[in-house]
Amino acid sequence: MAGKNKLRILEFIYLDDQKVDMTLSVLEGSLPTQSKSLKKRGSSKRGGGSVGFQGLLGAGGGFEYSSGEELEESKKQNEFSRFSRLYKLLQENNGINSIETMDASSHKRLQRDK
Amino acid sequence: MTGSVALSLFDRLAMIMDAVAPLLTEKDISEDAKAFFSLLSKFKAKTIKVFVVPRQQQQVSEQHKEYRFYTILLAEKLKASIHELASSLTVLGRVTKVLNKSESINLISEYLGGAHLPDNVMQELVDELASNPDAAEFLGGTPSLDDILVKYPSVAITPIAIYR
Repeated sequence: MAGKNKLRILEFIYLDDQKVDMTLSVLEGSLPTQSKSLKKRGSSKRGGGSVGFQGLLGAGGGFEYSSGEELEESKKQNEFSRFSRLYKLLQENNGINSIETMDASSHKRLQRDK
Repeated sequence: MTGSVALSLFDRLAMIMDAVAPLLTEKDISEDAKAFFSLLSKFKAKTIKVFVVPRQQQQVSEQHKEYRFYTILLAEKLKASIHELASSLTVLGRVTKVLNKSESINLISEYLGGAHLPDNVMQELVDELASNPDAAEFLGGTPSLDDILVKYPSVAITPIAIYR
């Protein structure tokens, strides 16, 4: 219920990544493309079977050499990019109703739209 | 929606207990109180109940302040300290329930796995807390029944993200 403004995120306080992925799947009609390609990559032998790398890689790969901090940073960037994609898709589908204030009429509107 | 986020009464209590529990001695707290806070602690570890008041709502009349949003957060999805929640943030979520005049959500029941407490017992509990001179200071305001009863015209939402 954010607006049609440009998305600006300083930091996530709370993020339900499963809901992000599920909603992306519904809107895109499939599993998120990026996650799919990363999954495939992660299953290759070159990956060395590292734990927790799925969906964490940026361009260039090489996760076997990544430090914990780098992985964390990649994970954050991945969260931001997936959420940004979702936000953009929701905006394109008029799926975001920005609520800055509530009164009787907006309450009724929410009830009607629910 | 951008608005101010506030922890529910029991989450605030549980947070305070987390902070002060190590400092308490056996004499400071009754067995009943210990059992109660232990129960709170158990549940608050999984979920955090918060109210969100839209930003501009805070500038309109007192009458409109009852229009607030209620949501349950999964503790495992928190990306920051629980203290960070008590500030002005943006919430992206899905409206799941717009309460009718006859509906209400009892937060104590949410804690107690659906068990129902009569209204007068809840009122007693709140009165007991409100009668403690330190409670308002610790809790950031005098506790009221509104802190544990979500009612019309509140709106329940399922959050996807909270950010600033």
